[in-house]
Amino acid sequence: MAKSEGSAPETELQENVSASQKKSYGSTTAVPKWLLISTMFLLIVRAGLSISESISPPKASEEIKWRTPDTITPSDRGSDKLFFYEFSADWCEPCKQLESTALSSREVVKFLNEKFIPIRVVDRKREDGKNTPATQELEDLFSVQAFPTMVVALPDGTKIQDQLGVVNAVGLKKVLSEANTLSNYFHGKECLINAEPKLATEYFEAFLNQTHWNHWRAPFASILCALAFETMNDQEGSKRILEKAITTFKDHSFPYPIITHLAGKISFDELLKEAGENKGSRLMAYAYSGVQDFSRGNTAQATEKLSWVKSNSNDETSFEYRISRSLLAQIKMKKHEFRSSAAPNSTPPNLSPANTAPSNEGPAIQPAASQSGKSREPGNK
Amino acid sequence: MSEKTTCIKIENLVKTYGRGRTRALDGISLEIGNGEVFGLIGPNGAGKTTLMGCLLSLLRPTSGDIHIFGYTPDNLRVKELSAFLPERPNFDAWMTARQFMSYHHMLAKLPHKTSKQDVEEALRQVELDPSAWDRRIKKFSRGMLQRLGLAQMLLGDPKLCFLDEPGSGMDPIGANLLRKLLLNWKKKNVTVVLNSHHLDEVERVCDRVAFIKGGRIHQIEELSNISKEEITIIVKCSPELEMPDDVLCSDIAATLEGHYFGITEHCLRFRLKHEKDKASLVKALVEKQVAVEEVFQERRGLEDLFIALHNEDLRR
Amino acid sequence: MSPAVYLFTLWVKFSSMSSVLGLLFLAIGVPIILSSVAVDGKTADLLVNLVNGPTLAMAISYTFMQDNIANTRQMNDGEYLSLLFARPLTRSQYIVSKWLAGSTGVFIIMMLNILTFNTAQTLQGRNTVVDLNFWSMSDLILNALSYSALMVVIRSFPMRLGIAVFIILVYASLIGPALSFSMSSYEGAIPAVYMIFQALVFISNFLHHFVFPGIDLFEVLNTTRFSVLPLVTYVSNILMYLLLGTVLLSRREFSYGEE
Repeated sequence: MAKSEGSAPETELQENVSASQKKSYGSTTAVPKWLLISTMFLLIVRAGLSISESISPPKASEEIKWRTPDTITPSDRGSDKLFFYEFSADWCEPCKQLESTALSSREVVKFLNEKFIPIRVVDRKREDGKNTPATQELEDLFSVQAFPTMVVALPDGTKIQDQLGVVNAVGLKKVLSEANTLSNYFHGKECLINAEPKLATEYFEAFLNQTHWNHWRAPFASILCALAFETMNDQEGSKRILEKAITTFKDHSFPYPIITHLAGKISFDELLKEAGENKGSRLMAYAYSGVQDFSRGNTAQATEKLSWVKSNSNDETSFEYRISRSLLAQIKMKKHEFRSSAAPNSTPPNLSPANTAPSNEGPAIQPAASQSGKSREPGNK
Repeated sequence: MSEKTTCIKIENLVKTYGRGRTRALDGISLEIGNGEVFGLIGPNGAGKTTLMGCLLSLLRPTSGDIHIFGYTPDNLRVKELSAFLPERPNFDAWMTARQFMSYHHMLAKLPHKTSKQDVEEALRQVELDPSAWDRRIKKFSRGMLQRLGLAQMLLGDPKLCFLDEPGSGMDPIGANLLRKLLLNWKKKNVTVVLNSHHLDEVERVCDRVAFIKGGRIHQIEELSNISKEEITIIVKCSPELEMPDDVLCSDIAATLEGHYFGITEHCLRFRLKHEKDKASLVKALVEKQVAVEEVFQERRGLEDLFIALHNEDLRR
Repeated sequence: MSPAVYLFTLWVKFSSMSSVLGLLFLAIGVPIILSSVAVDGKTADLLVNLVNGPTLAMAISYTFMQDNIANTRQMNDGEYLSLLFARPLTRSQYIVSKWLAGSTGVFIIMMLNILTFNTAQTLQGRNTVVDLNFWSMSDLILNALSYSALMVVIRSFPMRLGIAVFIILVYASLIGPALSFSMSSYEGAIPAVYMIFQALVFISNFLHHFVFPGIDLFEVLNTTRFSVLPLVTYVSNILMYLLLGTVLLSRREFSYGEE
């Protein structure tokens, strides 16, 4: 503010200002030129780039090695890589957006090419009226209703993770790395059913370590890992896992009581009380307690509990059902063997299922993954 | 006016609202000199506030030009040199008076290090009780708000002040303060433009007053010509008869050391030095065959003029 | 940029208990509620995306702009702003100051929001959802700047129009994630419903392309098909909104009297 005292006649003021400062005294209501010009310039550049990029999109430095549903070979199914399905359609705008953003991210592309078998499933129903059988089969398997849908699955079709709709690169990377971690859990379960407890413990421990025991599946993983140790008669391993689980998990709701039960801290009746009327919880309680009884040679109790699971489970694909059926079959075979040999010098039955040949009734579903199961190592991140 | 340089120059200013339906300002031309205290008076809706809005660049004129210190009114330099008191002091009620003043000190781009000192000085000048300085504005009375409004004007020694209805609702002590500030500005050669209904205080400090009505300047009066003793006489003549000519009336006025302003709507307007001359005037007019029908006396000075104009308007 | 307006805009948010409580709710209440709802990773992801999408950023910057860009403030802001614009302050400085203040507010509150959410998740023994790293921080800052610029424009509209546009944008940003896919078929669905759905998809895509000024710096810089277009789009959006805000405010007249 001018501090000059007294009169400041117009001429004096104008002169004072016009010489040096007039330029800096602009209108307060005018739109600044720099703003106008830079905005116009950038908008023109933007329009130009949009047009030129729609004519010739920028070249990708690295591309996802997409497969189609029809080009999946048996060797793909036998590999230890996870399948990454991207369901899209030519008319789907969000799919194009996904393609140009998350699916063009360098880290995503690299990750998909290294650790996954990326399969692009393009829906043609709208154009051709129907899809190829392979495409339709996959859409039905994963109940795809909308595009883009991304599914990460084991080669046998077990869904591990899915993502509906557009996601950003960071989000997709997270989905993929979580799937990669989660696959250990699923592999572990398969190994347990297929009587490969050693491998199962490795998968479960890998899963627990990668998630730092901080995942909603971690309590289940710790239970199954402990059970896998038990089937190998490794009581130490089982105890180690259960003790860690008891101290680590802060959430004491189900399935936490199963952990305390397996560790011998609460009885089976107390466990059932904890499970309450919830059928899912009861099935888990019976199944896991049954598996422990089985591996400790308490055949009668194991049979009772596992039979309960087998007759009460409605879902024949559930893990509890499958493990119960598998173990019951083994028990039946043992009895048969025992009765038929009945020699006084016969050794006590080795109850470790690892040493028993899988029966015909064995694993409910023989997963493709298990074919090469023994050659696989638990995936590290 | 001739000895003073121009501060504000308004040329043929027109402002219409509603796509030209309402003409709020209808061709205003005006020059206000540096250091002049200029009053704008007129009835509500006359266009005073619109004119003020245009001078503050809050409104965009439809046509015509305004120059302030040689700049357009929205120029940053004009804003630096001027201060404004809005009619309704609608300030940030949650602030304390001191905070509000500091905010305006900052807005006025004054040096930060003198802030506390400048603020206190201004608050002292408007005689706001120091116990209220740190009180929230929402607890202020109307009089206190007006003082605060005046205080924010004082920041940075403006060269041009706009006051919108500064006297409305002001208590006598406040009015006295306002008068003091106006005189102080006058002494410092600060140009002041004020809108007022409160004619008493206007006439005491204004150098000139413009009567605005219907978006036009009806009359500009130099207040130095109006002394306290003077009275304004309006003589209504019979419309059926011939009107007296201006020379005759001027001569009559001159003999009484008065002044003749002219004729509007069958009304002759005179100003006389003393009330006792009234009878002599009427007598002289009647003697010269003027068909005097009625005689009004405007009570006193500016207010008289204003009321007279207003009555005339009503009569029309 | 006017420091006075910038500081005032931030300061005014602490002027009343209700606005402080409102901000605390957005910064701390919302993440605590979300965290208690987000029982598993998937729900947490969904909720966090909902919040970290444009919605919360827009809501916060909208409240920061509240004071006096346009016809708010108890209908008297004409008078209020007339005093302000009698000061040496250009309209563009005003807009830029408001924009930066809004951005600062958005950044601080989003930051608190994320920290609270992460803390709440950790205390409940769950994984944190948003990691604070270079990418998430830069996205936070960049999106605070761009969404505040958008809100400057909306706040420069006449009040009712502004509110209407704001509601549409919030709606679009909320259903944005849900509409980032297209239905595979409309067998069984009423054609009209399908048409409406397609129209919503179209509008949502349009808004996300041309109106929402967000940027994902990680995606833009770590892409296999590098292009400056997203960066140009981002900067031009901000400049365009500031320009529009300045033009609207410059064209605006402040009648403060009774006339």
